[in-house]
Amino acid sequence: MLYCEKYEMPESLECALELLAHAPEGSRLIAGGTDLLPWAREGRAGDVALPMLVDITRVSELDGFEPEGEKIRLGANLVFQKFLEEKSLGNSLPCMPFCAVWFADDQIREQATLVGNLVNASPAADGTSAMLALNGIVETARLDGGKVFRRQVSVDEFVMGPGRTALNSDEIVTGVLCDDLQGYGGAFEKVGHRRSLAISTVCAACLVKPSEDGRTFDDVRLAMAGIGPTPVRLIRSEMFLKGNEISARAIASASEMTAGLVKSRTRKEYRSHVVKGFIGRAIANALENLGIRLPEMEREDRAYA
Amino acid sequence: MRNLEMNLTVNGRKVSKLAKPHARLIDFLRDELNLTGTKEGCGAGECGTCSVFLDGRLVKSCLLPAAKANGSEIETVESLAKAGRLSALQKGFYETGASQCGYCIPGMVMAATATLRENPNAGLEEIKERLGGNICRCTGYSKIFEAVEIARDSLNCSLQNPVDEGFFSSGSFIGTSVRRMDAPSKVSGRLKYAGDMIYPDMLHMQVLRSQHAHARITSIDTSEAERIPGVACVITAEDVPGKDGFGVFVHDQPVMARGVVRYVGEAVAAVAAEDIDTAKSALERIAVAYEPLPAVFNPQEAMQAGAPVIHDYAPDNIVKHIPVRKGDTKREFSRADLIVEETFRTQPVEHAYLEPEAGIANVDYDDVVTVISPSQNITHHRHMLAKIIDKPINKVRFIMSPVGGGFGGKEDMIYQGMLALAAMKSDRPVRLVYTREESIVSTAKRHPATIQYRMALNSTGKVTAAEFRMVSDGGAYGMSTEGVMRKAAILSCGPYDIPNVKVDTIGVYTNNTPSGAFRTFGAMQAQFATESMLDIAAGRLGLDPFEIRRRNMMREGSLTHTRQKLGTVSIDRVLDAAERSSHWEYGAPTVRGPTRKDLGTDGNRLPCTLGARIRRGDQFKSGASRSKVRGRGMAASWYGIARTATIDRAGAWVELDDGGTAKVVTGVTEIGEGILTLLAQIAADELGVRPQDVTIGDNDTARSPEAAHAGATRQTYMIGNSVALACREARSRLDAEIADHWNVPVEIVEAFNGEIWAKGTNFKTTMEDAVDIAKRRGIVPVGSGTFTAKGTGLDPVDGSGSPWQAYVYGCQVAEVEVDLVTGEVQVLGIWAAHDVGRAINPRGIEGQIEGGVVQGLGQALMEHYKQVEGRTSTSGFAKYILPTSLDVPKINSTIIEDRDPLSPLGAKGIGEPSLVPTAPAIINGIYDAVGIRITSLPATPEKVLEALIERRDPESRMHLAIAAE
Ligand SMILES: Cc1cc2nc3c(=O)[nH]c(=O)nc-3n(C[C@H](O)[C@H](O)[C@H](O)COP(=O)(O)OP(=O)(O)OC[C@H]3O[C@@H](n4cnc5c(N)ncnc54)[C@H](O)[C@@H]3O)c2cc1C
Ligand code: FES
Ligand code: FES
Repeated sequence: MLYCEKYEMPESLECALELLAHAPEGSRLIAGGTDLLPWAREGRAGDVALPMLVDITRVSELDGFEPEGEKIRLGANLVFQKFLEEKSLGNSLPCMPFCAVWFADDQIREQATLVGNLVNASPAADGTSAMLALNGIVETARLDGGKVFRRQVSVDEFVMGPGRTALNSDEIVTGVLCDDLQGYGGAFEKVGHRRSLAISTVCAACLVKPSEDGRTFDDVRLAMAGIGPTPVRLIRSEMFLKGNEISARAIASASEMTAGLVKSRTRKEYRSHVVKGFIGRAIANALENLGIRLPEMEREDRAYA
Repeated sequence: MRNLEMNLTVNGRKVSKLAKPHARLIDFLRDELNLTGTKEGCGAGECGTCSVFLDGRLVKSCLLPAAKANGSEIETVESLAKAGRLSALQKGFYETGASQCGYCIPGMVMAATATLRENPNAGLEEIKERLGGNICRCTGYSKIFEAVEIARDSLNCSLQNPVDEGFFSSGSFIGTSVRRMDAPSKVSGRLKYAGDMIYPDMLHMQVLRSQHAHARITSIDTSEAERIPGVACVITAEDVPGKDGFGVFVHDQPVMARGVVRYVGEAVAAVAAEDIDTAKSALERIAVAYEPLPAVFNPQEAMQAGAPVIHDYAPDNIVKHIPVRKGDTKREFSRADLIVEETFRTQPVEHAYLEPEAGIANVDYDDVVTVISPSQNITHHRHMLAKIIDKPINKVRFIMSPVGGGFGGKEDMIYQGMLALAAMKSDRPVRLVYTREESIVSTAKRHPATIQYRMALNSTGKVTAAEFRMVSDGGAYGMSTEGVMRKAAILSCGPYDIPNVKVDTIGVYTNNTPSGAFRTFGAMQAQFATESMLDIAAGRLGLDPFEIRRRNMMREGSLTHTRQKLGTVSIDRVLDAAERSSHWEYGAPTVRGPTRKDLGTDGNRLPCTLGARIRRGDQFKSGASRSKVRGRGMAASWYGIARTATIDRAGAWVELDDGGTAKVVTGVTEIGEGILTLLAQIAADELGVRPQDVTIGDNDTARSPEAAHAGATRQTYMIGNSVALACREARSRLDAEIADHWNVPVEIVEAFNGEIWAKGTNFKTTMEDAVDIAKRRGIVPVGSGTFTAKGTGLDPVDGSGSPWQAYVYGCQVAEVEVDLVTGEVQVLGIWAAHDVGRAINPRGIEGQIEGGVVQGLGQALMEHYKQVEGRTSTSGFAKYILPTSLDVPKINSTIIEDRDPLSPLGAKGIGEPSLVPTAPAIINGIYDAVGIRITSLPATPEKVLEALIERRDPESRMHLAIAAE
């Protein structure tokens, strides 16, 4: 059980920062609470008593999302369910609806924030890999001498290890700025131990952009989580594919460029094999979500239909 | 601490109340508003029993700080039925029989409501996804999906076939799908489980548990805890006035640890206080000094000389060894054409009933110590508690509260003793509600087993000899281990006539979490091995798997492994039915998956690829099939009905009551399988009334005759028949009066559906009138019945004996899809054929099959209670993985009726048997698909992929498939 002496629900960012600045040692921010509450149970942290919880979900500045040039800003209060409900979000961030549909369940998704997922920094988090693929930049705010200071950190640098981030204790994450990739095909692959309420053993976010003639890859983004302390971008595969022809052979070659990617301490061999398979599967599915199908895959579909 | 001022709307009512700053919405609803339809199955967001609408969005109220609901509008399950009329969805659940124990049902109804609010036209795939956060342990989800589809269609005015109960055509209530009598209270959230009950002046209990796997307790000091304001009492083993000890077979377990703790999670002391938080803080003030003892966690090691001894009475750590000997196996092995040899391992499995343990005890005005709890065996619990608290047996009373799932896990009296002691010591009612973690860590598991198997066959596929040795970890206490070993031994080598068998099953004490009764009681572990062996043998001999079973199956007159001569045997019909319904393609299990022609029929579901609501139509198939291979496997099974190798008995009282209604009183335990409805059907048929006229009395040791435990698939058989016999006696009283009144021979008096008549005459009246006539003549039409099933004990040396008078048989075919990239296995279809004797409620039987299959699937693929040095790493539903709505196959059931000739009704049972063949059918299916033989459960993605990699050679399909991606 998560106990607290005080539960605060500020309605403005300044108010929240103010509360945080003066909060007694050990106080915590809370968004959806879907990481914090289960953490304070037997088998994990057990009962936890905190002096104060500062709930930021009523801070309206942190709500919603908005385009900003070639990017899109996702407010800290944005919950995973929105990636399924808001068409425009799905268009701009084509891997996110697939990421969301695999994430927990419909009910948790109503509470769970993307930013909470990033700050929690679980090696198995689904949101971190997707944000890495989208070149996410985490935006924070803190109060100093009555003034709000803001900074930006790339997701890559923000997530430092299991449960470790570059966030300072007086900072609130206000949102994530990520690439608007309208026109890309997106996919998200995940394997856990079941199909709903599943925690990733490995997950992969993928975005592809074919050339205008549909023959070559203009851009490929691949990021995975569950295979080490932090999510990783598959730069070698991405670089290999960029400008290369869209073919099963090219994809198969890209799938082999996985040396040293898996850093997990457990189930390493398993994860390595899944990583290889997921590269191909994610790219194929991302292409298919744009309506492009490789002939080899057609054949396979027929064989096993 | 600053309390929250809560102002919100709940179910249309404005509410203003204070709440603790840390209160969760579920606490506020249950504790402050007494809206107990919202249940706490896990407290960690993993089960969905707590689902409520917050401003129109469905959320899990156990993860929602109450503060977040301030100013909002909340709808709970209680708001769905308007003016007592069930909503379309609730009606759907009622009509399809989608509620069993009912504990998941309020949350499930809420999730279904959210589904149709979000998309009134949701298709089956979307429905499954949207229910994905709600676990049901009983139903296998099939009837729930059906309920949602029916409600959707009825709301859209396109309902084709309303669910028919079927009795208007049949002229009998037996054999028709009469709707469950308890469903309305379950779908509306009105039914109160023990944890929902409130007594005035009630105290709350918390339990101090051992963190040691094996240690001597050198002292316990409770004085500081006792001084905390609000603490009413602290109890330890010292407070036991009588002879401490309980257990299903040996009474080796004290109410709380007595001098020694033997597993992590064992109760050491308990506190009863004004509220839970006070009780929790008192636990921290109890000082227990431990002296660690050497511990043992592996049954093989525990059997070795010099291993730490867990119980003094058993210096070899053996709880029970059951031998069965028939013929001479040695001779047969020396002349066999084929010998198959393999070792199988099954894992410990958690029952995971959605209702965690809960109970209330008090001492009433007559000094009767009363315990209300979801106990599966109040009869035995009363016996044991009377000795423990040293009271005459009629001063101890057990009342069964509605059981939110049991599956064997609520047969052990693990907490009722503590409640009784605290109520006696404090002289106030005391309530205890377990958390999910507490339930997992402290209660029994399915026995893990290691089975070494040798089978000799001749070239025609006849099994000539089998050697079977099963060693099982019984954990720290005996619980049901003895019985589990016995049943495993008797059923071990399956429903096959094998002339020479040598079977040993050995249950061993260790310092792990105790193992106990769990649906199938050892039969599942044993037959998983047997059915895998037969698949291997069939592959080697080039025989179709049905064929090899037919060549070996038991027939009328066959001798079982314990040398019981069988009467009627239905396995031939069961095999035929499964083969036919699945359209099985004849052939040997030689990895035919990729080429077989019987795959992909409409008995399967679609492979689950997620995203039904976002995917374009044409994308569906491709993602689903890429690098995936299908295959099929089958397995058969058998099972004995009622208590094993002993005399079983049950009793019932019946009264034909005023208004032509009826009271049936029996100590029956409705654990969700629908026995109350069955009994009402039986009583209605026997008495000539309607099922809805029948009231079934409470299961209360002070008010009802002994019917004993819910287990051993004995309820329909034992209690059904005693109710039938009691009804017959009541009817004969009534008939005698009516015959005399009409002046006709009693033999021609008949009754059905609330009417009674004399055949071939004009005499006819209502049952109401008939009862009135009897009473005016000075007769109350009552009856009592007692039914006996005669099993005989097993010989201690060769195991011979006739353990049951009735056997049932089953067979299942599984179609699976193996993902070559991830190693995931999806089970797409199950064709299940089961002999039930006589089907009293076909829909109820389907529900039992569907639930059993999905539990079998969980064991085959994902469930695993893990321990390291006696400490579990799977203490919650986040780590203990249960099948969700997206993991379950389409289940196609065929019911076979081979009536039992030895009982009045002819019905046998289905509760446990439905689970037995599922895991081996799935595992054999995996072999058929990709040629890997999984011998140790569960077949997790990692294990499957590892085996695939091991098998892979340059030519293999798998390699090509990966390369093509
Ligand atoms: C049943 C269940 C299933 C789950 N399934 C998945 C899954 O499939 N995939 C997955 O990745 N995760 C899953 N999770 C984990 C969890 O839901 C996610 O990590 C979620 O995104 C966390 O968001 P939240 O808003 O609930 O975070 P909270 O619990 O509120 O907070 C998490 C952490 O972030 C901090 N924090 C939150 N917001 C801010 C902010 N704006 N600034 C600074 N710090 C902040 C909090 O202080 C806390 O330390 C699951 C959880 C449950 C209970
Ligand atoms: S009790 Fe809330 S999800 Fe289980
Ligand atoms: S009916 Fe679903 S858990 Fe029992």
